[in-house]
Amino acid sequence: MIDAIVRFSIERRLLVLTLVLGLIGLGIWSYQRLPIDAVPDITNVQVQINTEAPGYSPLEAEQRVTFPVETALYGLPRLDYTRSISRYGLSQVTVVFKEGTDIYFARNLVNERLSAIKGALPDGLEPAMGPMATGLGEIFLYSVEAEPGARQPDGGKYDAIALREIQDWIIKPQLAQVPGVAEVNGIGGYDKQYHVMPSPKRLLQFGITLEQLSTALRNNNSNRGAGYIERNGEQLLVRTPGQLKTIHDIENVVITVQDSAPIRVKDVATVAIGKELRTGASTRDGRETILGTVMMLMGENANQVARDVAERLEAVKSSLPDGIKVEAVYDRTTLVEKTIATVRTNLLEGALLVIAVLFLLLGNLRAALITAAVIPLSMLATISGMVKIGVSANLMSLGALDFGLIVDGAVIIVENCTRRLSLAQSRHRAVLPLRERLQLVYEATTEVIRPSLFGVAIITIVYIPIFSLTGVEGKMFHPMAATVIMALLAAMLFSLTLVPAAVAVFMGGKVSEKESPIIRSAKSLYRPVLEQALALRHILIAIALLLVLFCGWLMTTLGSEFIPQLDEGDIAMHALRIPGTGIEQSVDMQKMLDERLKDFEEIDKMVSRIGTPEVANDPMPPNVSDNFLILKPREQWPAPSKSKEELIRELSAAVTEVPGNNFEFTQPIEMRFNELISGVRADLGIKVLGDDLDTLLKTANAIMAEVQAIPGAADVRVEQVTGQPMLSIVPDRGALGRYGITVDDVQHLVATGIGGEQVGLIYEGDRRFKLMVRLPESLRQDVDRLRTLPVSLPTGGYIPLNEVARLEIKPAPAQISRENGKRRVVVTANVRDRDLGGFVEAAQQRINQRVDLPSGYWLDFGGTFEQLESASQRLMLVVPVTLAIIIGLLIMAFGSVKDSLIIFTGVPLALTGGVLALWLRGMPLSISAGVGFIALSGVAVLNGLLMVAFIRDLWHQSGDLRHAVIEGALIRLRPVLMTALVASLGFVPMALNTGTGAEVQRPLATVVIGGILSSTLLTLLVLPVLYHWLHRGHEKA
Amino acid sequence: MRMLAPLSLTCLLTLSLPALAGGSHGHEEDQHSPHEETITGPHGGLLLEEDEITVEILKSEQGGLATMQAWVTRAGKAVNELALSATLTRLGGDQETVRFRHEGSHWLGQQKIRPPHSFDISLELMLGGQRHEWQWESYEGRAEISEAAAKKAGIVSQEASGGAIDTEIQAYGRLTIPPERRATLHARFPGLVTSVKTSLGDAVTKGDVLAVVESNDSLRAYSLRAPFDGVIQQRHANAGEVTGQEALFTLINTDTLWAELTLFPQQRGAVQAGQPVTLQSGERQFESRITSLTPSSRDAPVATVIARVAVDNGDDSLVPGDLVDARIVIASEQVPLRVDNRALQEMNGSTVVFLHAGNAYESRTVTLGRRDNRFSEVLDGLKPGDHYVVENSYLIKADILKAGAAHHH
Repeated sequence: MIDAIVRFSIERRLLVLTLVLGLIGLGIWSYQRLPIDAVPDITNVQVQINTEAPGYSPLEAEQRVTFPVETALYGLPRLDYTRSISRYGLSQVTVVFKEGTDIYFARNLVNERLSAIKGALPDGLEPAMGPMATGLGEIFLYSVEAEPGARQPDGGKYDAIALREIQDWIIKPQLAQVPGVAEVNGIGGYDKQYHVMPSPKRLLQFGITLEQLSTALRNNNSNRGAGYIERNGEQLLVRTPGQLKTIHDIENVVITVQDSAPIRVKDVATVAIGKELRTGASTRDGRETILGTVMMLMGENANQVARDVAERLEAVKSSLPDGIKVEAVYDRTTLVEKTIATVRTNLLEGALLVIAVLFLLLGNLRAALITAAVIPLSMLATISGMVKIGVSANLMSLGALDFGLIVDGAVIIVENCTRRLSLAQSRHRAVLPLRERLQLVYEATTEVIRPSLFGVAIITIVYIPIFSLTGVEGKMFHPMAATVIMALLAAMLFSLTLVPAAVAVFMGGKVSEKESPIIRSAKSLYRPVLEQALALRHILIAIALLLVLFCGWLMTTLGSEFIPQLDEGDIAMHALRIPGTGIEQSVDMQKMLDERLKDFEEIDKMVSRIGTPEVANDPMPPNVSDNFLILKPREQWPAPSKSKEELIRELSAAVTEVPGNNFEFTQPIEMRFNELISGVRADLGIKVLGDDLDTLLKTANAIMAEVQAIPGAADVRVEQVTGQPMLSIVPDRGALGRYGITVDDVQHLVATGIGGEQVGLIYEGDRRFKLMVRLPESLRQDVDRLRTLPVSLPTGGYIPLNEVARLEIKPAPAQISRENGKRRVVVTANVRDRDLGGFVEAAQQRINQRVDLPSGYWLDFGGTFEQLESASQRLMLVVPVTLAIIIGLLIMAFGSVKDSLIIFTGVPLALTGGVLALWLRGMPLSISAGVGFIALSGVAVLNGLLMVAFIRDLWHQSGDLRHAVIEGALIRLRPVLMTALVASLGFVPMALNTGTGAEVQRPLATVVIGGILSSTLLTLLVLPVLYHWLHRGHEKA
Repeated sequence: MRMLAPLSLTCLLTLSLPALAGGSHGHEEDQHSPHEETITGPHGGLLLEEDEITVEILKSEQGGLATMQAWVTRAGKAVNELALSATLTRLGGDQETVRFRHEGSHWLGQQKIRPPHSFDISLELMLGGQRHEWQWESYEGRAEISEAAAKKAGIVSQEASGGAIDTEIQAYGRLTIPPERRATLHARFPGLVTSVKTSLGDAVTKGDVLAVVESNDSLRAYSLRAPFDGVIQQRHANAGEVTGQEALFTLINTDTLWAELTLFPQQRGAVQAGQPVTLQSGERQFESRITSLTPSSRDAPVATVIARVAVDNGDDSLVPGDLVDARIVIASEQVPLRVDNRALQEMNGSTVVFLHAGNAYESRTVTLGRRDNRFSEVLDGLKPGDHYVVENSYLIKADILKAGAAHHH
């Protein structure tokens, strides 16, 4: 069949070329649709269900909201697990679906279940699904500030309430319309509210209850339509407007009439614009600000959306009041452009180097160009494939593309054609006639097509183990493997069709095989060396063996890391304060921190998000703040050569001086991923599941003590669950009964007085603001005065609150975490200097023996050890199977086990170079490097394959083994050198680049370059020697 | 060699995986506890070494008091002829000495150490005529903040001293006219009102003629005079009317009002006549004292006591019927030591203040006595003259406990 395809391509060469043009068109069309981002998306398939429950304590939020929501989700198809947190004012349930579940399907299912339980939730609480965005979703951050001296229309300064109003009602609605935006999430400032703040004394004076006040406000604040009437043939619509519009309106609402004098709201209360009880705040450079986060819809093109948002933001500026400054703080485009520029440079420079090498070694410009043409063509084909299967262009997916490797097949074919053509021409001493030429091209192609297709197939196969990776690793590396395989397949297809066709069309003239001087000198050098090597074969093989063993040992001394971390260029810093810290205190502490950070000239902008934003996609408590430190371009640093680690060290030292904070440094995208994936990130996580929080905590502490005692345990910790001081106002039922009031009366008073009760909305055009009844701040803040808060009696008169209720302050849970519908507390531990599996086993045993688990409580062992174990197990199986497949293929091709194994020796020999290169550059082993090794073994097999195939053919023809070995090796010198040179040179820019994102690609490139150098050397020397040695017994055959 | 090929590739791929563990939790490693550096001896205590001499010191706590134990060896053998003592220097310079006595296999500190167990320790060992000394820090609940950082953070300290504690309770009260300042005036003899001299709202002085009545019996006219200075609040008489038993005028005087404060069961025990009261009506404050206490007459479900307080209303700014806030000082005492309430923080279930000396801040558990809305009496845990943090004390708490602050997603 292959022959038929080649023949067809040569016969219908013009048709093939036309088809290629069509493919180019498809590629360009696809390119415009290719989603581009910096890194692959590693978020799992999840749906967040956020329910805002204003005023609810963690315990109530869990009992009244989280539990019903969780229960409703039982038995969802393709459900993986649920987890939830219940906090002050918020319940968040995260539903994680199995990999591969369609997100729209998942959201539909969840939505259906949610609508079924609406009745089971307390009145007024609406569960809502989080925005449809992934960990890569936060693509744009902007801040809203007032310039100093800017004045509101009424002459007042712009305060945090006014700024928030601008964000909510001017900026957000415009940005939310940009295509691809899932949500614009605001944080900071205060929601504007109208506050009616009654004075308890005045209420008593007039004998008015809070209830009466609320009712009066509720009953005097609505417009009503009243149909229409016809008058003289004209239709008149009827309405009775009654909405309150201004503070003055509210003040004049009549509550009741006493002694024919109306008692108005202003007689018992002050009315003012007030601040909500906020759960989130934000600062910029030490001042409070409003921060908007634009979240991108899942699967959109980050680069495009971020750019559109930036453009729209410019347009928004013209609609803002004078003196309001909106500024982009973080723009994903910057990072994407930088990384893509790195990748582009690498690919482009690699491609140019490849072309140069081809020209130098082939000595024929046309041949070089034909080969080089395969590069952009297969790239376009790959892009089409990526769009088709939904792989985005990013550092990882494009990171392993080596054009040298891709054109290997084409190089071999073109080289052979050129050689045969020039040979034939020199024999004919004239240009060949068309028919003969076509026949020659056909023969030359088919001569090498099998081994080269084979080689490409093998390179493709070695990538298969990567597909066995699951979870985060899988998401990281699957796109890479998919892209490489697509590129290889495309190149293979072109080698079969385009290359012979193009050779047939464009190499009609005189083919000068000016064997380039490089090859000539290489050959003249190679022959004696090879002969020498054949003579000293034992020594040579021994050296090779030693080298392999040495590198095997060297490898174990290399450090290891999982994936080299992409340097995003900016810093995200968590500032952690003790649980229970109030939001305003947290803001004050944040300002101090910002003040300290201002001294760093490397920082361009800094913003912080404290607590939970409007849409609780990351429900942080008020004691935690995310700081985004946007750095200046390196050139503008006082010391441009300062490394980022060094800067982080300095930052860390500086911020530690500021009292009361603990810190974690990370990067914006990395942070978001961590928040979303959110599994146990320690080596071992022991989850204690059950009902009672105290018992859970006690058990967890007992487990912690046991785990700590196991050798190798490090950083053993129990998840913090308590630490939120709570003021409980416990009604005294006896006293309540005596005075004839109910628990509900007291609760209502406390809830209204302290938390506030919404009694309506105030409309200003489209804008709507809550009308709240709440006690004045001076009263709310003072626990002692709350004790004497008057409770109205049904018989008239009042009684102080502390006569009917007990006020007590004690710590309570700040957050309740649940997993799969049960409360849980996690004990985490890392393992040092010990194998993980053994440690986990020891821990299980020790806990079983020593910790008495109450009935109704159980344990769940998880953590990274699980992933490690399963990944290792899978690889232990998949890697040998893959290698067996390769050997099997080789055996099929050669019909000889011996030859197959000879070819296979190229693999360890190639690995030696990779290990040495890593060691020379001081790089640790990583998955990236591992992928390099995978690619390497493919190339090594390919080279060996061609070499052995030629030697064998020659041997069969001539019958002289030694002659066949030497001549065969000499004939293959050029293609081997070429494939090696193009493959390694193609990676040189990648290995040397220092741009953004280069650190992820560098290990891979380093391994391949080092490995190919050693592999080439050894293919050229060790392989012929081995072949000769192992076949010497059959020499007479 | 052939065998090696698949093997090494397998190794490679599997070896590169444990990297996962190493790389993913890097940031957690920076948060080690400060005690990690210490070398632990066979008894679990701190190991001190010099030349051939080894001393192991173990501090154990029981019921809040700590004792120290020591094991002394020379070249691995226990030594008995020695003198061992430890000097503990606490924050602020207080020193105490613990002497050790030989008891069985170890040396036992004779003095119990009271909390807080946070000090610089200097251990002195006399052995074979030679003196050895070790010094180390053993801190609990201490934070170091530089002067500049503290100033920036607004941390302000004060010297602890004695002062007054005014224990107050709050109550609401309604203003009323004292009974002696309200008079309902009748005609002495029934008769015809011939003329009325004053009208509603008129201010009158004592002795002013309010009306003239002609008696039915004597047919003589007599004058109805104002019994005291005041204002006519009600008038029921007009010229030409015949009066009988009904009142003609109500005369009130609001120069002095009474605030009738309602005292609820939990409050009434502490309130006595004569106690000072601060009344607040609107923006104005009035100082007075409780005149009398009487049980309320109403048949309400609440058994309340009415405390009466006279209020001077010379300028007529108060109106009977107004509700006023009252703060009754039920006790006012000089205490030897008090702290500002803003200094108090909760830590691990007990109330603490933060002692300040130099750049160091340390928590001190305090036992509190009486308190008012500004100060609390300190019974134990602090000495007069100690500097303690008043403003932004929360920051010190946050700094001491910050190692435990973590972010769980």
